[in-house]
Amino acid sequence: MPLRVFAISKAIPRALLDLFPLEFVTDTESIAFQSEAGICDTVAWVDALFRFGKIDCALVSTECDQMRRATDVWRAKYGNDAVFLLNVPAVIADTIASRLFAWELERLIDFLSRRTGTFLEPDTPLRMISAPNRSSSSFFPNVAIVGGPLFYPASSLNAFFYERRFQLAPNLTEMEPLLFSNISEVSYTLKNLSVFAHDFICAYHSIFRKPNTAFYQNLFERVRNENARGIILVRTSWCDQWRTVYSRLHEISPVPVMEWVMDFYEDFTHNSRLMTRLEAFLEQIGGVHG
Amino acid sequence: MGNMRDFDACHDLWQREGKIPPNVNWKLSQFYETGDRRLGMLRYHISPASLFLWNMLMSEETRLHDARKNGRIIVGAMKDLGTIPVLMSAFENTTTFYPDGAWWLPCFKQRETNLLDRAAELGVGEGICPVRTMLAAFEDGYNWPIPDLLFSSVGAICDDFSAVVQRLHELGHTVHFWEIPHGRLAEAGENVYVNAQGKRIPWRYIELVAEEFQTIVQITETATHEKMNDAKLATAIREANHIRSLIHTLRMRVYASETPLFPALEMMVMEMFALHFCSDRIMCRAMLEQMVSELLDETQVLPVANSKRAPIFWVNPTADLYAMTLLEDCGARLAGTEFMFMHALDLIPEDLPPLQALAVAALSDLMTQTMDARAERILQDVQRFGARGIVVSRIPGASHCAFESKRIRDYIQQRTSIPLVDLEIESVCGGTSETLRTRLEALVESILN
Repeated sequence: MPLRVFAISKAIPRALLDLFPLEFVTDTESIAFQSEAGICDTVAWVDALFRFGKIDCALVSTECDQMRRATDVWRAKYGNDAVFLLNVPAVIADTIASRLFAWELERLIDFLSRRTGTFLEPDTPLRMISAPNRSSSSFFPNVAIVGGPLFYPASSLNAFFYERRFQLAPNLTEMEPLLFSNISEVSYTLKNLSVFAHDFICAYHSIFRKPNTAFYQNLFERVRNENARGIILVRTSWCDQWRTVYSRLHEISPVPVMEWVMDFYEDFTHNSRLMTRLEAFLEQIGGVHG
Repeated sequence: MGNMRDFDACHDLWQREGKIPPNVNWKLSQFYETGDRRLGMLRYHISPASLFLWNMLMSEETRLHDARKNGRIIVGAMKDLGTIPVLMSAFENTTTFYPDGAWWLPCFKQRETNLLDRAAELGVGEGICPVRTMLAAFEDGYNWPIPDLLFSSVGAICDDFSAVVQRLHELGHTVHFWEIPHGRLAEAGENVYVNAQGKRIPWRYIELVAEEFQTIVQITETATHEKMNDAKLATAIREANHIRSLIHTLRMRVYASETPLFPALEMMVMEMFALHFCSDRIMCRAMLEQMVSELLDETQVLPVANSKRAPIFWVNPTADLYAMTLLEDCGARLAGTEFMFMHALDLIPEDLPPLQALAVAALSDLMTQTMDARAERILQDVQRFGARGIVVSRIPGASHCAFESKRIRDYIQQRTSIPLVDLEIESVCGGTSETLRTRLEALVESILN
C-alpha cells in the first residue's frame, strides 16, 4: 500500500518524493472542515484530512510559521510520524542555504524510507522538472496566477478563465510543481545529493526566502515569456506572507495586478462581488469578449 | 506607588541627595508633555531605582541620536531578541537597539501619531502584529536615527515579522538576513549540545549559526574599522551574563515573593533591558545594580503588594503597558513571566568558543522551537515561582498567538489544574479594558477562593 501523503510546499522536491511509493492526495479532495480565526484554512483542511483518515502523513516546511506550529498540533494529535517538517533555509546565501537544505533532504529520505519501507541505492537518479523553453501558445491571452495554496480545483479554475476567454498561465501558486531552467545536462543521483540540494535551493525563488527579490524577477520573466497581460495574486485570509506581496507587486509589476482573497470553503462563483472584480480585471487587461 | 507627578516631586530631592546618577535628569512629565501620553495612565513604583529605569527607557531615542552625533555606528538588530546586541557590544564603537521596539510606540503615544495607519499606507495593514509600526518609524525617521547596519534573523520566526522585515528591505533599508533554523528535535545518533535547560541542539546547527555570526562580525569590522577577536567577544559575553545575573536575582526575589518590592510594570520593563541593554550596557548595569540594591535593602521602601494577592504568571509581552497596572488593580501580583525571550535571560555558555556560545544562545530561543518546549518551560517557571494562575496575552494579528495560546493551555491543563485565561491586548486597550478587568478579576477570584 502506498503511503498517502499531502505535500504542501514546493520546496519539498518532487524529484525526491517520486522515488518512494506515495499516493498524493490532491487539492481536489472535497472535505468538510472548520475554519478558525487567525489560522490559515490550509491548516484546518489538512487537519480534516487526518481526521477523516484521508492521509497517513503530511509533508510540510518551515517556510510558513503557521505550518511550523500546525506541525506541533498534528504531532500531538496524530503521532510524531504523522508529519515531516522540512527546515527550508530562508536566507539566500549559497553555502549556508545549500548545507542546511542538504541535511534536511537527508532527513526527509530517512523519514520516507522508514515510513514506506523503501531503501534506496546511492546511484538512484533524481530528475528535476524542466521548464518549457518557449512560451505556450493559445488562442486566448494569458493571465498569470501567483500566491498561496490554491485549493479550488485547478481544473475548474482553468475552465472558469477559459470560459472568459483567458488562459491561466503561468501558474506560480504554491501547489504547482517547481520548474527549473537549464538543468537538462545535469544528472543527479542520491550519491550527489548535496549538489542536487545546492542546485535546487539556488533555483528556488520563493517569497519565503529573504530577501525575496529573485521571486519577483522570476515571476516577471515568466510573465514576459508567456505574454501574460495581468497577474492575479491569490491568498487565504490569514496568510501574512502573501498579504504583503500585493503591495510590492503593485509597485513594481509591469502588468496590472489583482488581489483575490480566497475563502477556502466557498464556491467563488457564488461571490458576486468577487466575480464582478474578476470580470472587471479581465476586461481591463483586454480579453477577447464574445 | 504613585503617578507621574509623584515621581516628578521626588526627582530634584533624589538628585540633590545623590540617590540617582546625574545623568538621570529627565522628569517623567517631560516625556508626557512631548507626546508620550500613556505615561499619564500608569502607576509607578516611587523609588530612585524605578526613576532610573524609566529615565533610561524613555530617553533611549535621545541616546541613539547622541550616539549618531558622536560618530558611533548605529546597529539595528531585529527579531533575534538578545543575541546580536551581545555580539555588537564587543565592538567599541557600536550602539545597538531593536527597531522591533517600535511596537510600543502606539501605546506610549496613545495612537496619536497614527503610526499604525502609516504602516498600512506603507503596505502592511491590519491583521499583522503591531510590530509593523517599525515601518512607519523608519520611513518617517523621527523616532530614531536610521541604523548604519541592520541585521535580522529569518527562518524560524513569525510570519508577521518575516513579512514586515521584507517590506522594510523593499522600502530601501538594506537588511542583512541571517538564518535561525527551526529548533527541531535531534535525530537519533546526531551530535548534539545540551544547553542549560536540557534542550538537545544539533551541533551542526550551532556551527551553521556561528558561521552566520562570523559573517556579521566581518560586516561590522568593515563598518567600524575594528578587528574583532575571541577575547573581546568573551568579555562581551561575560558582561552580558553579569547583566543577566542581576535580572535573574530580581526575578527570583520578586516573582517568588508574597510581598514583592517591585510591581509588575517595572518588572516587565526591567526584563526588556536584557535584550539590548536599552542601548547602553554600562548605564543598564548601573541601573540594575541599583534595583538589586533597593531590593536587598528592605527598609528603603515598602513592598508593593501584600500576601493576599493572587500570584499570576504572564505569558507574552503586552502591547499596552497599562495591562500590568490593570493586573495589580485586579488584586493580582506578577509571579513569573515568559515574554518570548527567555533565551535573553539565560546565561550564555562561557565554556565554548564565543561565536558558538552565541549560536547556542540564539538556538535556545523558545520561539524557534516547538510550542511544547515553550509550554514546558512556562510550566517549570510557574512551579518555581509558585504562580497559581496563568494569563496568556495574545498580540493582535501575531501569527503564532492563534496556535500558541491553545496549545499552551492544553499542555498545561494536561499536567496541572492551574487556571489559565487568554486575552488579546491591543496597543491601547481603551475600550476593551473593562472586559480585560472583568476577566482578570474572575481569574483572581477563582484563585483566592
